[in-house]
Amino acid sequence: MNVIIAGCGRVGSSLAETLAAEGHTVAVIDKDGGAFIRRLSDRFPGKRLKGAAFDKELLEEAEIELADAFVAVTSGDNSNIVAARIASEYYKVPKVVARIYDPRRADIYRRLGIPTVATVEWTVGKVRSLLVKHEFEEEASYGNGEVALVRVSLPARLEGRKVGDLTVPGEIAIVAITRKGRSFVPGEGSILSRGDVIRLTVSRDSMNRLNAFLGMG
Amino acid sequence: MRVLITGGGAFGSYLAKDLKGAGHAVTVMDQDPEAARELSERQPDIEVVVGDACEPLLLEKAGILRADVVVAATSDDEDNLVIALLAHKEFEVPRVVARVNDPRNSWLFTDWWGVDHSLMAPDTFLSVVEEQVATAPHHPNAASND
Repeated sequence: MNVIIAGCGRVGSSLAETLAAEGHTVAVIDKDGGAFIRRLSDRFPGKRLKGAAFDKELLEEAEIELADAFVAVTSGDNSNIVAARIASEYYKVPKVVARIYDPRRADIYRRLGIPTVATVEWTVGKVRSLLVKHEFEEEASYGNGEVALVRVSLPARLEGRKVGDLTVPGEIAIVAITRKGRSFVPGEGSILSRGDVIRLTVSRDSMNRLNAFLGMG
Repeated sequence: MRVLITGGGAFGSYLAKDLKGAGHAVTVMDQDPEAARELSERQPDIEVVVGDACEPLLLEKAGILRADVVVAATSDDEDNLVIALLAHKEFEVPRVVARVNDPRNSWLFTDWWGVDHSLMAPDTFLSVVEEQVATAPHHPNAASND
């Protein structure tokens, strides 16, 4: 892949080194030329371009027309947005991601069609999940962690209960049951039985409620 | 007309004074409390709101939903572009005017970013004139006057 990374901070430089080590062609842009010396190793093989993340001349020097991916991780939310929107709409870069600090702004940019990683939301979600003990395994999480897919071995107290008893619209849903090595998508009336492994989608805010349901809270 | 100006620096405050004088209702937003205080002391008839104009909630508080015109007049081009885009796409402001600080960014200040009309910052304007003066050919009569 040809990747352009705007912003040579901790995230930008570490992403650049990782992708370069995997064999990708990486160009890094930063308005502070000193960042390249401070954060990139001497062996980093990619281009180092000093200037604004949305400078047309600089983007073309980075060969943005040939880029497969563009990552905007400068310290400025607005620089990231402007650069990301230029990359995706003007240069038609297939994969574009922007990092956003202000979570209130992130929603608006998602609506404008710019894929964003909201650092604050993501970190809060992660830290919370480490602080609050859950007796189930999180298999995946979506967006910035607002929704999780979790795996639970059915506790004895729920044997014989209906799937509907564990469902809370907008919060908790059982999406699959694995029984004797076979899986199926249950209905509201499906009965849970001993040895079931169930998978649920849960909103992050309802984790404690799920804990209570499972008798672990 | 109701005009919301974001950025209360020399440019924004001059503009505010001028538009107020022409009878328009003017609100100025600036994220620097000191600059905002100075402006409201000098111009008590202009409404001044302290806050980041790239923040949709604060734009709403400053009355963007009733604004006929938004002028994105900060000294950062990326801020002006984001403000223009929000004003146009998110708040459907009928007319958006934005200030270009760095002429290299002028290609972005079009309807693509929600900008109806762009203005060069005064210092850019000056540097363009200076360049024109420095590179102008001599008047054909000049040689004979030497």
